[in-house]
Parts: sequence; structure tokens; C-alpha cells
Amino acid sequence: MNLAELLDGVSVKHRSAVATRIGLPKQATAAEICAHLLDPVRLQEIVDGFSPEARRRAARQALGEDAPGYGYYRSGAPDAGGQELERCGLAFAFRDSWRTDYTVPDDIVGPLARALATVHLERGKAARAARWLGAPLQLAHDAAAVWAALHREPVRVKTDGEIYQRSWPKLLAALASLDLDQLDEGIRDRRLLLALAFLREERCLRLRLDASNGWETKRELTAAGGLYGLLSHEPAELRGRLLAGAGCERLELAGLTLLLGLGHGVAISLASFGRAAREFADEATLHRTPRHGSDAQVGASALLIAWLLGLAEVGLDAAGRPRAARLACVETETRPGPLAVCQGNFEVVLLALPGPADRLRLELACEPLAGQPHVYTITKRSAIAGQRAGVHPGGTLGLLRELAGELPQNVERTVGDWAAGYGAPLRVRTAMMLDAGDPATADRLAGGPLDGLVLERVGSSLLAFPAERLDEVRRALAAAGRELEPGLDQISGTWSQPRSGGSEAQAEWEPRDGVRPDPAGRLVSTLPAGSPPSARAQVAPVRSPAAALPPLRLVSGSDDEVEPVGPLDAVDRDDDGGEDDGDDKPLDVILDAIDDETEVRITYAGADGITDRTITPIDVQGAQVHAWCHRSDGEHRFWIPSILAAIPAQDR
Amino acid sequence: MTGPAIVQSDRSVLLEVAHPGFEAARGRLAAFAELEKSPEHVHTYRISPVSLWNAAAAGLSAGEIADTLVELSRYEVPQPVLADVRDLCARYGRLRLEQAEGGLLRLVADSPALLAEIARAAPVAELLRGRRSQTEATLAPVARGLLKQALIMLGWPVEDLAPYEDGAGLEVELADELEIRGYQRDAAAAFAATGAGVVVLPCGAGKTIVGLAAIAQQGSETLIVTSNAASVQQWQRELALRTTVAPEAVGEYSGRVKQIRPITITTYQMLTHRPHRDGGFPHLDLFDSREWGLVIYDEVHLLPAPVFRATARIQARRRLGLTATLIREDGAAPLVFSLVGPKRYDTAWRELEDAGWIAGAQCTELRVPLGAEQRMVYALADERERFVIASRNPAKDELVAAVLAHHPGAQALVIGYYVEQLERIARVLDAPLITGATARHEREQLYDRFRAGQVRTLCVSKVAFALDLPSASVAVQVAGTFGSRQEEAQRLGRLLRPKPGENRAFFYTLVSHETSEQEYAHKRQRFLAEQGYAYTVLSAEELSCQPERRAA
Repeated sequence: MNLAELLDGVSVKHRSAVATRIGLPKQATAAEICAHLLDPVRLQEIVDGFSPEARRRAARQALGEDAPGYGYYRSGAPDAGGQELERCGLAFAFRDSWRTDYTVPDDIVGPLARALATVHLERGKAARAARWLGAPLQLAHDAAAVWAALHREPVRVKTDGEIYQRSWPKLLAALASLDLDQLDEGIRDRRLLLALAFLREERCLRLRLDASNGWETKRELTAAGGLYGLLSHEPAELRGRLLAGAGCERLELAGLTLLLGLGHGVAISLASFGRAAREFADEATLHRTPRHGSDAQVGASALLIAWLLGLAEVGLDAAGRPRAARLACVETETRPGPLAVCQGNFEVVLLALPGPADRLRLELACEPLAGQPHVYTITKRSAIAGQRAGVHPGGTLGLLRELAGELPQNVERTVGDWAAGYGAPLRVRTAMMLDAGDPATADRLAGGPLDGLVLERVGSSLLAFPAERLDEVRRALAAAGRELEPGLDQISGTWSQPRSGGSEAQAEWEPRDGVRPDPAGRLVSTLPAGSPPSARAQVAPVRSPAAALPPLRLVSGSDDEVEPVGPLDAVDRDDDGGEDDGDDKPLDVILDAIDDETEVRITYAGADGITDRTITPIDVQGAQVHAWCHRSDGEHRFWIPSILAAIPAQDR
Repeated sequence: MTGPAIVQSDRSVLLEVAHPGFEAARGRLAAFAELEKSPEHVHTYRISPVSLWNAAAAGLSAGEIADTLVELSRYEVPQPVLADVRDLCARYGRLRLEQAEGGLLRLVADSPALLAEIARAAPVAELLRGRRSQTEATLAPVARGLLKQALIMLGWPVEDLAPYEDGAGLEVELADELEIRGYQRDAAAAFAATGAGVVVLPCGAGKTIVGLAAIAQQGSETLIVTSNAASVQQWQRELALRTTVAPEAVGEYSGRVKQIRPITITTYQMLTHRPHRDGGFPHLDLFDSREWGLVIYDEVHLLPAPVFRATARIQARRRLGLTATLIREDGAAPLVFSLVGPKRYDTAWRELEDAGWIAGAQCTELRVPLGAEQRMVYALADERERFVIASRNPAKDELVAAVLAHHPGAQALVIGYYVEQLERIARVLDAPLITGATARHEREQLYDRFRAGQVRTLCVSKVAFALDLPSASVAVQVAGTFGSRQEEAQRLGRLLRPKPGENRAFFYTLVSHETSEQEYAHKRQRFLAEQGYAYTVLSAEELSCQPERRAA
């Protein structure tokens, strides 16, 4: 959800309030407000004027702590920080049955974060370095190394999906040693976690289960998918995929934001950077960052994700200790001539720095040597792994020839011997089969309603058809008076066999959806009453073609507060200007009444049968409405499922 | 232009052979790093504490070494490597061993703190007699080697400036007809200038001649310790042929005879032999049995631990180590540095080959399938039996003849492990066979006839192969793993004496295809390639397509 969309979606009065607050004329359009807010200088001015509460709220949103938003329950007090952001046009309120959440539009999150970071950066000390150390797309290299290691030898995982402790060092050993590792031993672990997270999100990992006897007896994490194609992408695109897939911790995101605020080439001392990142991260959470390690160590941790993506450089002093940080786009240095040479002793020596795709080919065809980042060795195991990976049509020999040119005769011969008889594993795919029950029915269906849909007759009564045409098959059968019995699950628009109680371990290695979820509920205005220009900004319903926004509705209020907003063709209102959907659920009516402190007429199925009552709802607690019951003239709790109907009392 | 070298954080240095700066870089690197591998494209050098102390002993400073690395390196030199160079080089020369009054020695440290630090270590404290000042301590001459040994274990090399004993004199001169090569003369001179140290020369480069030159220069009684009995005979033969020493002045101290003469030759096995498992080493007394002025350690990289201990006792004697490599598989290189001495001379293998002083070598692995019947026997056997079945593959017999037919006129050795197999092959080739059971005089006779060219092909078992037969240009190994890879390289090295004609030696290994023997062969393949030998893998059928190599 972006800023322009949301500004279009709120009422004119709400926009007027925002415009006034940020120093624009009251009549400013959504586009003008949007341009103003996205101007870094203007935004900085607004952020500089934030109250501490608003700063904390904004920081929480900017660093992901509040995703998708942070709000208050019906019973709670409105959130002052959130309201301040809303007044500035930087946050929007969404309300569902239980709570109200503030969310910052996606396209303002980054600029807002950078504006918030400025104050921390101003306290940082400038720095110099004897030399600068970059790691072009190191995270991609790490992912390639881990993927190849898993391809050679899968690792066992526990029932909850956690990798066994004894396997962890094996995976760590796959990562090349980096100068930054020496600053904090946790950095290497973090690199591995980031690589695994990226591989999981890109569906390049698979959990292989042995459950032949009905129990999970063996769980192995192994390499899957087409990582090679992914790593062959342009650096900028690959960088984006890596960032999205690996994800950031709060401190890393704070570090990344601070670096972007620095501008290219401006150097800051690593200790200052660490302090700033920690302060910024602390600002964004109720739970402060643990104070372990020196400022420089914290700086290294905060810098890590940017450094691994090739977005930052670490400055080393004359003794080689990391001392400074700066924003810099680090690209792989290209060098004419072959990338590597292969020698008769089965070593492949890198003569230039490889890109991530070449790294993967190397890691597949050879094994790295500990402590020697430029030397790989070809083993029988690697020759077989390279062949099985199916990355190159020529198998391991093809990979090696592309990397190192002509191979020594003895290597060519021996690797050929080792790899002979191995190939990429064949894959099993699900086929859709219709069981007609008997040959005669199968004949009738194949020649009748399913004519043109059936791919092949399998056996006497099975009919095979393309999985993506299942809906057509259903319709054709329905038209012929036949139906399909249940037996397949429809998940996300695709059909599959019902899962046999997918295990916790499997769930752990399923890709997480890294996309920021849309807020739940409807867009409302929570600007307090009495504040000019309107205590209760109203929102007109908008039909978004992208359907990215939840359905927008008018909230209850006096008619004169309702104004049409946005392009007329986007407005879908009842002729009377009232609510667009007259089928409000009882709970919605009650919640509105709580907000408005008005009465509600309900039809209630209670112990004394079905009755009509007038109540003034006070609060909703769990599945009960706490209300003043005018019939009994006292406080009473009503079961929400037993409220058969509810209408505002004034509608009566 | 980028540099020819890549410095890695484990202190290895990769040097690209095809780079235009390779030749110059090789010379500069060799001054402070040991050549570990020299395959065709990229050579690997190793910077170790010992290699740095060797460099420091030769007068190279840490700054010069660091500058060289930075200058040659294609990428940023890892900072820990530069730090190590500075730290390790700085250690050399901070402790000196000098002559003191009253027949004692004194250990001089460059700072009171250093002397205090090392004197706190128990192995050092018990060797020191007393303090003369805050930076000087005295010790008995007998503790000289033990102290150096203890200090090197603490990471502190000692610069030994104490004088040597001359030992009993012996009139020896090199024979007039001996044409000593330039590099051999330089090596002997480098040793003579200091009196203790190691000369590193490739296999086949004539290290024995350097030893003879050292004996002649020193002119004193000499103890020579070498690696095996064949080598003892070689030294005896060389002394008789190439020096003026009288035959009765040369003794052999072995299991067979125990002669202790002005020049005595023995083996490491003999010195470390003990009658009882828990007893001492009685033959180590040989070190004290005469007033040796010089002790020569042939193949010094094989020096065993008990001999180190004995060597520690004789630090007042001059010591010469001879080897093709300073790299020890047991990591005891610092002890060689400390007790025998720093490297005094080194030269590149390829320089000698280019100059024609050693032959080029071509290694070929021939893969022979097992017959159908043998294959089934192999499939049903356990792991150990499988290796034997593969090694004794009868299909190898005919292939040996085919190999030799490719080298008409060449002098060839067929090397095996199983006597029965060798007997079969000897019958096929109609060639004499030498095994452990062959009488000594008969062996010598056959060797002499081989050297004289009267016998073209000789079948020998493992026990008989460790000797110098410079006229052989072809070797066919039909079976056996034959100990460590180092030994194997040494065997190949013995083929590397200069040859007439194209100056090449051919080493064939016959391996049963798709058997465990091939796994062992793979290790050998890697090692020989690392030593710089060209290595080819062929099937038995492909051999016939290879061009014939007629001996000159």
C-alpha cells in the first residue's frame, strides 16, 4: 500500500488536517501532500518536529518491529504516537473488530527511516582507514557454498526442523573465512543463517523425510531448485532478492538505514556506527538490544547485511583491525584471462575473483580447501556431486572446462571415470487421474463430456488430464450430471493431494512469505474530535483495481460529514450517501456504537428465549459484549454468537 | 599488470607459472618460503617460522619480506600474514649462544624481560647454570643442543655463535677427474662458511658430491648417516671413485658389519635399532665413538626422533644436512633448523633441468582391466585381498613387455612387490631378477652389468630398488604402494640422472582398472603431479597409439 493510494482513500477533511499540519494549504491535493512528504528535506523537517512518542512509533514501523502496524484495543486509549503520525500523513489507521492499527505506507517507510536515522548519525565520528575491504555479493557466495555443501552431503534436522548441533560446524566450514569474522565469532553463524534463510525463501532447500513406516525416522535438509539461474542474475536484481530472502534483524536494518543516510564515500568510525545503530534499534523497540560486545563489535553486526550484499565497505587500520564503515557499491573486479586453472594434482586454482554463479559451479565441481580461498580440489565426491547437480549439460567435466579451460589429461580421464554413470536425479511430478470406476464409464466420459480434456487412457478406467484443467473437468462433469468426490485440496489456486499432517520440521523449511502483509480491517481516521478541521475524518469507499486495499466503507456518522473523495469512477456509494453494504454484522454495529457511545437495538437469544433489547455497549471482552441493558436497567454481558441481529438505535 | 602471486591467510603463496614475472618472483620467494608443490600452472610456497628464520639467518629483514609479498601479490596481502612475518622474523637474533670463559657457553638475550621469560620455562631453567647479568646466563657445553631444542619448542630460535670443534684430522681431496658443477661448489662453500646447515637440491642433482666436497674442505673425520643400506653402498662407491681417501679409511656400520673408521657410513635404522622394545639405543654411541669433525645427515627430512636427541649432544661438531625437501610430514622441521642448522643453499628444480643437469620425467599410469575370472574373485574378496588380487593381475605381465617394446634400446627397471609375479614377468622378458633372497655379490654383479649396459632390463623387488642406477631411463612399477609418498618421489628421483639424447626418464605404473589399486594410484598421481612431473593416464589399448621412444 503506497502513500498516494491511501491519501486518495481518506476523506477531504482528513487530508485537509494533514495538509494543515505539514504546512500546506488546506486545499492541497493528495498528490501535493504525497510529493511534500516524499521530499527528503521536508520529511526531515517533519521528523525533526516529532514528539518522543511519535519518534518511537515511527522507528518501530520503520525498522519492522510493528509490522504490519501497532495499535490499541477497543478498550484501550488511542495511541498518541500513532495519531501524531496519522496527522502528519505518515500513518493510516485500520480498524477491525478488536483493535485499531496504525500502518506506514510502504513507499514512505524507507525515507522515514533515513530521516529518523539522521539524528543518530550526527553524533557519529568521521573516520579514516588504511584500506577498505569490500565483499561483492558475499551473501550470494555464501549461499552458493552452503547449497553446494548440502548438495554433496545433506544435514540431519530435528523434529522441529532445527539443524543438529553436530552438523552446524560442517555447514560453517563451507563458508570462506572473511576478515570481518575475526571481530565477532557470532558473525560467521549469522552469515550461515542468512544464507539458509535466502535459500529457503528461494525454494532452494528441501526437507527430505523418511516416513515409510508412518513415523518420521529421518529428516534431511538437502539442496533443491535452480540456484544457478538465480545467481546468474544481474547484481542489482540479485542484491534485491538476497535482501528480501535473507531478511534483516532490527540492528541490521538500523545499520543499513544509517549507511544509506551517510551517502557514498562518507566514512564513520565503526564504534560510532555501532553506537548509532544500537541507539536507533533501541528506539524502535520496547526490548533494548542486549549490551554485549564493544561498540565496534555491534557496529560490525549492524554493518553485516550491507557488507554481505556489497553495499558497504569496512575500513581497516594499519594493523588490519576493522575501524570504520562507509557506504559503497562493491562490484566483482573483472580480470582478463581465465578464471581458474586446473592442475595435474587435481587442484583448481582461482586466478581471478569469481562471480556468484561461477562460485556455485566451482563449489559443485570441487571442494574448497580450508584456509585457502583461492584453491579448490577435485575429489570423487565432488565429481559425482557436480554431475548430479545437472547445472551443466556436460556434467562435472563441462563445469570444469568452462571454469578452467583445458584440463590435464590425467584429471580429464579420472574425473570422467568417477562421474560416469551419474546424472541429475529425475523428478517425480503429480499427475491428475480421474478414476471412472469401470471401463464403460471411462469410455463414455472420454468420448463425451471430457472429449478434448483427456490426455491419455491409463489402464481400464483411469483417465489422465492436465492438472491446470481440473476446473474445466469439474464443469464438464457437472454439466453431464456427474460430480467429483472430495479428495484434493485447493491451496492458493492450485490443487494437490491432501497433506498427510505436514510435520513441524517441514513447516520450518517452508518458505516464509517475506512480503509485508496488508493491515487487517478498514481504513479509518482516528484524529481526535475537536481538532480542526474535523474530529472524525471520514473515508469514502474506494474500489482499487489492484485489490491491494481492503474494502473501504463509510463509517457511521452524521450525513453532513460524508464527502465523496477521489476520482468519481472510483467511488462506489449508495445513492443516499450512506453505507455501501447494508449487511453489517452485529458485532460491527456494536463496535461502532462503542466508538460513538450510542445505543443499539439487538435481537438476543438468551436463557429466557429470543428477546429484543436496547443496549449501550461499553466494551467487547472475548466473545462477550459488556453493555448497559436498558431492559434490565443494569450492566449485562451478552454472548456475541447469540446476538441474532443488531441495528443502531437511531435507525429504529 | 597484476602481480604473479596470491598470498593466502594460511601463509601459503600461490605463484602463477605463466605470469611474465614468474622467474623473478620465484627467486625472491624462495628466499623466505619453502616450495611445497610445483605442478604445471601454479606453484605453492609455504611461509613457516622455520622458513622465516632461515631467511633471517641469511640476513633478510621482516620489512624486506613484507615488501616482497606486497609487491608480488595480486590481491591485498592478508594482514595476519604480514603480522606473522614481522613477529616471527623479530624473534631471530634476540637470543645468541656464545663462548664464555672457563669452557662454558653463555646465552645472551637482547632484553632482561626475554631472558626472564624463557628462564621461567622448566626445560630451559634446568639447563642454565646461573645468571651473569640481567641479559646473560651460562650453561655447560653439553647442554648446547638441549637448550636450542628447548628454546625452539618455545618458539625462540637461537643464533649459535659458539665455535665448533675441529675433530680428528683426515687428509681427503676430491679426485682430479671429478668435474664438480657450479651449484655443487656454491652449496659446499655456503655450508663451509658457517659450519652447520642444510643444503636443498632436487633428486638426481648430486647431493652426494656436495657432501664429498664438504668432507674435503673440512679435512676431518666424518660420520655419514643415510636412509638405507643401498645408500650406504652408494656413498662408499662415490668416496672410492671421487675422492683420494684410502679404502681402509672408509667403514660401514650396519647390521652386517660394525666398522668404525675415519669416515664411517651408517643408516638411521641402524642408529635407532634397539635390542629390546623398552631398552635404549646402543648404536647412538657411534656419535661419540670418534672425534668426528663433521656429521653428514643424508635425506635430513627423514631424521628420526632418537637421532635428534643424539644430535643435540654433538652441537660442537660441524653438521651438514642434505635433502630434496625441507618439508617433513611429521612437522619436525623446526628441530632440523635448530639442531642441524638453517638452510644454507637451495636451487630451483627447473633451473637444473633447463641446464641439463637432471632429466625430465614423464609419469604414465596404465590401467589394465582384470580378466573376467579375476573380476569375480575380486568381487567376492575382502578389502585387503582385493588389493593383492588387483596388484597381481596377470594381465600386467604382457603389458610390461609392451611398455618396454616402446622404448627399444632403453635400460629399464621392472619394480614389483610380489616375488611370484616378478618371476613370471622375468620369464616373459627373459630378464634377470633381484629379490631379497639374491646373494649380495650376485646383486652387485648384476648392478655392475646393468651400469655397463650389458644387461638392458632388470627386474627388482622393493628391497633391491633403493639404489642408484643412473643409466636407467625407464622404470615400470607393477605392484605395491612402497611406503610414503616421499619415498616414492625419491625412487623416481633416482631415474633423473642426465640421459643421453632427449634427456627424459619414463616412469610407468600398472594399475588394475576399477579396483582399489586405482585409489592408491590416485594419491600417487596427485603427489607426483605436485612434484612437477607430467602425468598421463592411459588404457592398455591406448599405449599402442603412443609414439615409440628409442633410446639414444
